[in-house]
Order: sequence, then C-alpha cells, then structure tokens
Amino acid sequence: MVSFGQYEELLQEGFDQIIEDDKIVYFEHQALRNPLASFKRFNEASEDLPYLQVISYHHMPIMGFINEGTYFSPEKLRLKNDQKQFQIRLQPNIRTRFGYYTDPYEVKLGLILDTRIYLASGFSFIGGLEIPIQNNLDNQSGAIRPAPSMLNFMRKLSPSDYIAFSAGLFFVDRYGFDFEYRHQALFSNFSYGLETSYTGFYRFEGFRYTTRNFSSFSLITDIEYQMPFENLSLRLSAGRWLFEDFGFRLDLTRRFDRTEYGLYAASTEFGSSAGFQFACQLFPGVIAKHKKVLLRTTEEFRYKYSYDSQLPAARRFQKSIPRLADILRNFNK
Amino acid sequence: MLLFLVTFQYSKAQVSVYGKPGLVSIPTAEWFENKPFGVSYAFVPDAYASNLFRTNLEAPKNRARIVGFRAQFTSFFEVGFNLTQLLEIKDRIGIGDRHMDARFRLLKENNKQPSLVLGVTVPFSQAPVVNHDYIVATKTLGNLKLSLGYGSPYQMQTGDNSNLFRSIKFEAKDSPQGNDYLVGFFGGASYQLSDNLGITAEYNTNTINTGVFYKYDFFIIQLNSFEFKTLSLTLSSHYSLE
Repeated sequence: MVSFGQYEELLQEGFDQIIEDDKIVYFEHQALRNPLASFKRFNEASEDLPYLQVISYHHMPIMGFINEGTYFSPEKLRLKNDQKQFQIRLQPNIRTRFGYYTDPYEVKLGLILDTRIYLASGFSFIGGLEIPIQNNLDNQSGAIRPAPSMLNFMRKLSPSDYIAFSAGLFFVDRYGFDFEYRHQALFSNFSYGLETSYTGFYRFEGFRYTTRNFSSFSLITDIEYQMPFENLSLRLSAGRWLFEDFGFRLDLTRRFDRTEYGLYAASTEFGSSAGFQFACQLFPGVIAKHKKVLLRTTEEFRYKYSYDSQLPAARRFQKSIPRLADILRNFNK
Repeated sequence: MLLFLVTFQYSKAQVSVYGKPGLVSIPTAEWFENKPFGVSYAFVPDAYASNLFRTNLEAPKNRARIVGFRAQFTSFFEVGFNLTQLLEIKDRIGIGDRHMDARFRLLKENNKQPSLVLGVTVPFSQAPVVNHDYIVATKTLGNLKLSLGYGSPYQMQTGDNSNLFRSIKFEAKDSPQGNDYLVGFFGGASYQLSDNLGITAEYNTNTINTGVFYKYDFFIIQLNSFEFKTLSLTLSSHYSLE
C-alpha cells in the first residue's frame, strides 16, 4: 500500500491521480513532461514499492515501468476513480494580435478556473469559469463567463493506438465536435495521426450566449519523426485546417523535462504563415491544498505566436486538455 | 577535470543588445552550453539607437528598447527573436521591428580552433532595419576572449508579403531603410576579471563601445557605454529547462 505519508509526499512532488489496483500503481505527473523523469522521481519519493508502475493521462494508461530500462505499453486497466479530491486549476487564456498601427498590442487575457470530473475510465468533464482581465482585442464583455468546457473521452485501442473524442466548447470561440486518432508505438521514432473537427462560432457575454451555425469542417493528417538526438521532433501536417484552407504545415519542436518549444512554417491557400509556440507548467504548481480541495496552476500552458502573410493559415484550435500528439510526444524517449 | 573547467569557461557567454551571445552590440561565436533558452532586455540611449539602426536616415533621436528571446534547437542551431521599439517615434512605427534570425555553429571551439558562427536573418520583416547576416569567430585564451567577424553588405528580403517564402531577393542593405548595422568587419574582446565579473570592448563597424558585465547564477547584468559618451543597460537570463 502507498502509505498516507507517502501519498502526501507524492502529492507534494506533483504526482496526481495515484491509484492502486491489483499490484499496479497508476499515477499522473503532467508537470514532468518526460515520463522517465517521472518514474525516477516517483521511485525516489516512494521507496521500495513492490508494484508495477504506470503513468496514465486522464486515466488512460500510457506507459508502464518495471525497472530502469524495462518499460511496457499497458493496454487495459480496470480502475475507477477513487480520488475524492476536488481539483481547481488556474490557467491563463491569452490571445494576442500584434502590429496594427492604431493599437499595436492587442491582448485578450482571462484567467480560467476549471476542474476535471472523472466520470468513467477515460471519460471526463473539464470545465469551469473564466474571469476576463484585459481585452483590447475584441468587444467581448468583461463579465465572468463560462470557460471552454467539454466532455472528453480518451481510450487506448491497442498498445500503440489512441483515440480522443471531445464535444463542447473549445478555445478561440469554437463549439462542436473534435476527434483525434494517433498511432504511436512505445519508443518508435515515427508516429502518425489524424485530427478532425466539426465546429461553429460561439460567444458568451457573461452567461448570455450567441452561436452561429456549424461552419467549419477540418481534417488534418500528420506524420511526426522523433530525431535520435536533442529530443527534437519534426512534424509534417497536411489537410483542411480550421478556417477551411487547404495546405501543409511543418513543425519543429524541442522537448525538455518540464517544457517544450517549437517553430513552424506553413503554406496554405491563405498564403504563408510562420511562428513559434511554447508549452510549460506554470509556477508554482500546487497553490493550496486541503484534504478535499486542491488549488493548482495548470500543468500545460501553451502560447502560440503566428506571423501571417494574409489570413490566419494552418490553424487548429486548442481544447481544455492537450491534443494527443502533444501528450504522446513526451512518451517517445 | 581540466577539460571540464575549460568547457565551463567556454560556456560563459554574455549577450549583445539583441540577446544573442555577444559583447555590447556585436554578436560573437560563443554558445550557451546547457542553457538552451534565454530572454533579454536592452536599453539603448538616444543617439546610439539611431546610430545602430539607421544612420543614413534623418531619424529623430531615439531611445530603443529591445526585447529578445533565444532558443536552441540543436547543439549547432539556435533561433533568436527580437522586438525593437524606438520609443520616441512609437506612435509612428507601431509595435516596432520584429526580427528573427538563425545562428549556426559551424565550428565548436577547442584547443586548436576557434568557434565559428554563421548568423542569418529570416527575410520576413516588413521593416528590415535591424537585418544582419554575418560570420564570426571567437577564441578563448585563458581569461581573454577575442572575436572577429564580417557582416554582409547585402540582405535577403521577401518582396511579396502575400507569400513569405516566395520571391526572396537580395538587395544592398543601405537601399530601402538605410540599415548599416554590422556592415563590414567588426570585432571585440572580453576579459574575465573573476568568476562573475568581466569587461568588454568592441568595434561594431560604426563606433567603439565598452562594457562591464556581472553574472550571477542564471542572470547577467551588462552596463555598457557607447563611445564613453552614454550608458546602456542589458539584462538577460538563461535557462537549462531540465
């Protein structure tokens, strides 16, 4: 058994959703993007656990650890959520547009407070409220409004095939449906996947909302190659993007234990586009902790900057949890 | 052990006003080992901001504020991003000049050879006042580091904003914007007085500038002077991200 003291210590170290089931201990540590660093830290914090250890993500088991150098890809798990803690997550929502002469720094910043409720294995609700802080980007009201909130279902179909289905409200004012499939074998340098969405525009002014009809169907396929050095990956994506432009996009991403950054260049019917993005855990992690409630900053804050020649080209929207490619990339050491 | 010490010394770079390994305003061929990510903030006073960026134009006096990011992708390739704001004419030029460049380490320094870096500006900028393309070598001799480089009098620039990648043309740097930052030979030296403290001097193709730097952990403060006439400040911070 993970003793109460150990459990506290693990929580302090940032481990989350620690669940024991039939001599297997499952845990999540989304702050450490590198799973091997997670296993190492877990073993340092909990001495001599006679268990197999499995890192899961939203209760979807991804990678198992037997000993250093021996890993496996767990396929199935039987477990229910016995986590009785209510977690509140702080996450800034930032959109920027730079360079218009009349107002060169257009920034829309809100603070999202959301929570995740695990309804069944791999099935969760993620949602909450957004507190607007600054907005000189558009005319959306400054009243508190619902944050992008959605139902999410993730499942591992085989040791190397994953799906995620989401329905609800997404970032950049899109509502609708999103489906992702990804094939990634453990320690394979190649992975590939597909993302498709059917969405429309929505907007909340406080709690009053307007929606427009479904207006965008996107379908993007990609192949990613993990270079054998520097934790560098190269991803080529092509298809029909969020604003229904056909074209391709090349991403170069470098990963670290706690963060990643990347560059991209794209060319679609809308012209060309280039930019950078980074993703990191936000300081300080756990802010306040009570037996029943935990307040923490987000494990993955992602910011993207794009320089477009004309219309926004080769865009996708973010969801309340990272996309499969961004999650699984880290399990490809 | 000795090797470790030597490597450690090589990695002790400071930055130019653009946040790239450099002295006061020139880049050097130094490389931040194990510190792949950096941010920087530089303030360049009146006359020298104009000097640095557009001597050929009758620009008004300009204080410049330069924000920079630096991200390494491999041990020989890094990307830099800059925003240069000319504070006196902020209203006229909007956000300022957005600049992006790539640095390639062609040679890694060892006992026999200097390090050699090629810097290339990405040809997207609509106001290419700080474009610079150069090659520079740096050699460490004990506490002294010497750098010598050459900046190209030509630049690459996209001629068609509807597609950033097509219609890239070469043009003389002094043609549309009067940019004479790093045109011709430049060079300089830095000398480490102690583990944390050092001094620099450089010739940036226009002026001779000097500075003092102090390094504390991941933080570097640089107090510089342009021709001993006016002071400039550069702050930067560099991270391992592991």
